[in-house]
Amino acid sequence: MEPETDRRSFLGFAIFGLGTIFSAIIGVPLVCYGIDPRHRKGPKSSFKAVDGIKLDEFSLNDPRQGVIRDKRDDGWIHYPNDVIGRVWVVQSGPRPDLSTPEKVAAFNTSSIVERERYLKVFTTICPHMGCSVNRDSAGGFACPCHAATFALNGDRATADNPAMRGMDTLEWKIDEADPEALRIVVAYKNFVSSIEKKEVIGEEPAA
Amino acid sequence: MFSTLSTWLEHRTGIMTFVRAMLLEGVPGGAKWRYVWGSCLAFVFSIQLITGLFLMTAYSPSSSQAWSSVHFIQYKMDFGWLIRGLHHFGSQTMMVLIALHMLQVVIAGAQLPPREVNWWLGIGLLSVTFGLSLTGYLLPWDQKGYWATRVATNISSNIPVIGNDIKQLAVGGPDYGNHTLTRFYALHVAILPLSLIVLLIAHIVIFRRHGVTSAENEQGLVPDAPPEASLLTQHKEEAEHEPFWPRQAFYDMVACMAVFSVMMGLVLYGFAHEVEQPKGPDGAEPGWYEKIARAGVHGKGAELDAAADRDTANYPARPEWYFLFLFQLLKYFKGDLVLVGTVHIPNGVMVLLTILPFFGYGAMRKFGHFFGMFVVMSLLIVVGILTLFALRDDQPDGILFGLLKSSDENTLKLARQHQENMRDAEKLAKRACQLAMDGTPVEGGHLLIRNDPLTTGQKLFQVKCGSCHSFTANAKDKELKLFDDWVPKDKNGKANPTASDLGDFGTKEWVRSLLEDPMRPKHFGAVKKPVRNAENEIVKGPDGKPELTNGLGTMANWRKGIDKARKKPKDPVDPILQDADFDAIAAYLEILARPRDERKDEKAIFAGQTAFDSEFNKCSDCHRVEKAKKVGKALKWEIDGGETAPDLSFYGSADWIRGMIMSPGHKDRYGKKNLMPGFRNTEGPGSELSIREFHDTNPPPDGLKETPLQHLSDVERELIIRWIRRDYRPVYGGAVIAK
Repeated sequence: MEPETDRRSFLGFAIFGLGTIFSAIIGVPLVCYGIDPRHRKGPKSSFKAVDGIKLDEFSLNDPRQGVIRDKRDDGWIHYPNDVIGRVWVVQSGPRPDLSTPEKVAAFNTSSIVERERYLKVFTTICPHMGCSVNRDSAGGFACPCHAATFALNGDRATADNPAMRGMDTLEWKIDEADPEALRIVVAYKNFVSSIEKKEVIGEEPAA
Repeated sequence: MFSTLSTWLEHRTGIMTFVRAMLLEGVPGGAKWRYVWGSCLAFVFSIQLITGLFLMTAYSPSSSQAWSSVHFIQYKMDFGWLIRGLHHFGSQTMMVLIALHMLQVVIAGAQLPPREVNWWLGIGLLSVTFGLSLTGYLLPWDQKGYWATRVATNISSNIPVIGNDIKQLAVGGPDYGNHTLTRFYALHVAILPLSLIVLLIAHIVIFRRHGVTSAENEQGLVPDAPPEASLLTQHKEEAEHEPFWPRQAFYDMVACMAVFSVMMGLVLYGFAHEVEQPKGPDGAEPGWYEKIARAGVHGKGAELDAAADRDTANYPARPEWYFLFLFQLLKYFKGDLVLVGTVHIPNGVMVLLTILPFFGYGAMRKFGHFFGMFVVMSLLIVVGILTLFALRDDQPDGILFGLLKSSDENTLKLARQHQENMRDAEKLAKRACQLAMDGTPVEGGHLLIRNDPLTTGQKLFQVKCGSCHSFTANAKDKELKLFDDWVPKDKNGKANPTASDLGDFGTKEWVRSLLEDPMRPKHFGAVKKPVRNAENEIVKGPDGKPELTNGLGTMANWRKGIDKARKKPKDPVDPILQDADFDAIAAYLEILARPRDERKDEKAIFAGQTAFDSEFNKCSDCHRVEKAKKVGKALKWEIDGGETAPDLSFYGSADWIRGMIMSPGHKDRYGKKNLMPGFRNTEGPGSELSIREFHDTNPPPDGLKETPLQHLSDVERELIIRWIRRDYRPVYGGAVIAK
């Protein structure tokens, strides 16, 4: 091989080499920056009061809508007290004896299944595509977007239904700070839409 | 495989021919290191394009959000510090490269025929780059960019007749705000870069038409590369027609990498404000990836000043360093001459640069070559000198190790003032960057400082409370250099406190010291009131001034009683035991300042309670306080005690101080003994009710018709309370809520 060709290919390799190093130095950070939103976790939910709901006002199968407020981070903005979501609350069974603080505390320590025999709390977000679920004339719930329908207990009303699962329940208990007021507190969460399993957005799915 | 693919692609697109044509362009006279500047400029510009596009994905151009979003990029996004840093230093690098490129061009005489058009395109590129720098400087909407842009746009309003219209068009209205940002943003991310790209393409196309300006190629005649030449087996060329690939390409590559290394060096050196690295969820320490990806918190990347705030008394505005020469020029042309410095000279220089090629026609070419070098070099030297002067004028100790120092006393005075303002501004910037780590209020990042107890709360305290109360910094304040002691002064500058020192108000130590001697100046010693005779008239002393007596004498008398009991000949009170009681009371009151469910130390509570009630200590004769009773496992709290002195439940807490500020003469506090004015929001809806209730619950002290009441907004009050309690969380977003 001629020495001139050697030199040329050396320079060529050097150019490609430097170019590769440079691309890595700037490329890796650019990719990391671009996929940064993937690492952002959803907020940690804690039990929050539901505005506009008192247990005394409920009757069987008469759903009420309430509002949940909490601090909320929106990118760089921090809202100290914002609406983070709305819920449907349905009384599904007889009211247990909650006449003393001790009974309230005992009720709160029972399982969520037990508590849901009395009251169910659903997020208003449709498990299909995330629209807001309303009441329907048939007495249950219906989503105004793609006609997903649900019974009052949250189950899908018909098998022929765009939603892959029933309405998402939220964990709730009675506010122990003032047990006599009989208000409920709810741990609000957002769920992954249009899958069969109920999965919290930004949380590792349970094994 | 590769060759089949490339043949297929070549057939359809002609890409290989294009690449070959790009790379095998002849370099008459051979490859040279001095030809690298143009490539370096194009290289840095592409970095600006790429980093700029990525920054756009997270930036929000509005006066309430821009700063916060840039803070988010700088401190919270993965490698945001690096991308923003490269973009920031890239613009400065371009300025330097432009100077070098221009210098190289005139040294080669490349502005002369037949390359005039390319020179003009170059001047266009220079102007667009200036425009990009100017608009980009504002986008973070920080103090620096905001005040510098005010100056820059006001300069344009100097232009006769159309000046004001130009300014108003640039600013997007009569004042700076959202429309200034949106317009600057559109210029910065679309209009100017697109213009630059168009000009750059034309610049490169015309450059290739004429080739480099070497001795062999003065007239710009470059034969095209031989068509049979291929990328990998380049035939020997004659020396004067050496192709671009590979030697010149290699030189360019090395130079670009050197430039990039300098930029990276600046980014990694770090000019940003350091903030505390936030802990992960559950308080976890950040891992190695977080440490690198969010190195902005360690100060890496470009500086971010505090958010722009028009409510700033004396911000030391300076343009970016490459505009300092214009800034300095402005100083030499005052009054009617201002146009000379702002319009005539800069535009004259641009005109001169534009006509440089004309000096190269025919026999003038030699002169034109020399003249071009002369103009550009002198220009760079003048710019350099002006820049140095601008830097010199801001440094009381001079620059270049004191070699260059202003001799003008007034300039030195201004320089000292400037440095002081800079230090203040730096402090605020660091504080703002730290506070924004918890997110910013939706109203804008400037509220972080406006509603910051440490800075604004301190100032409010001095204005509203500081004419009577002192505030002594404790050891920790001094160690952290948070603030100096505050002492009220009279008109002659003499210390003149007339109320207690709130430096450690309500702490265990404060209470304990008060029990030791209530009349220390720190406690009630400075509180005086005029002496009144039986007719309730103020008694005047021989100098005609009212005679003063202790404002809160009951505690003094109590202590006298204590001392007397200790010296009784029969059954004296044991001072050691009683001092232990006082310790217990101080500890108890500190616990009582907490919310009820956080009062946990039962032993201390009951010990303090017993001491409080003891017949020797006599606290509950006058004071009432919340006392605990054990009910089952829980403590039940009930108020109990005398009613002639303040209720000491929650003493020293934010609640108690709030009560003292809003209702000092309330029966739960000093009642008729009170000498402090009330402070409430006396403006706006509901205030009339608040004023009436204030007078209902705050009976006037002797000799006054009513207790004085002064205006203090809710947010101001909370800022003062937090400042007193060293709780430095900003009052959030105009609402009285903590983060």
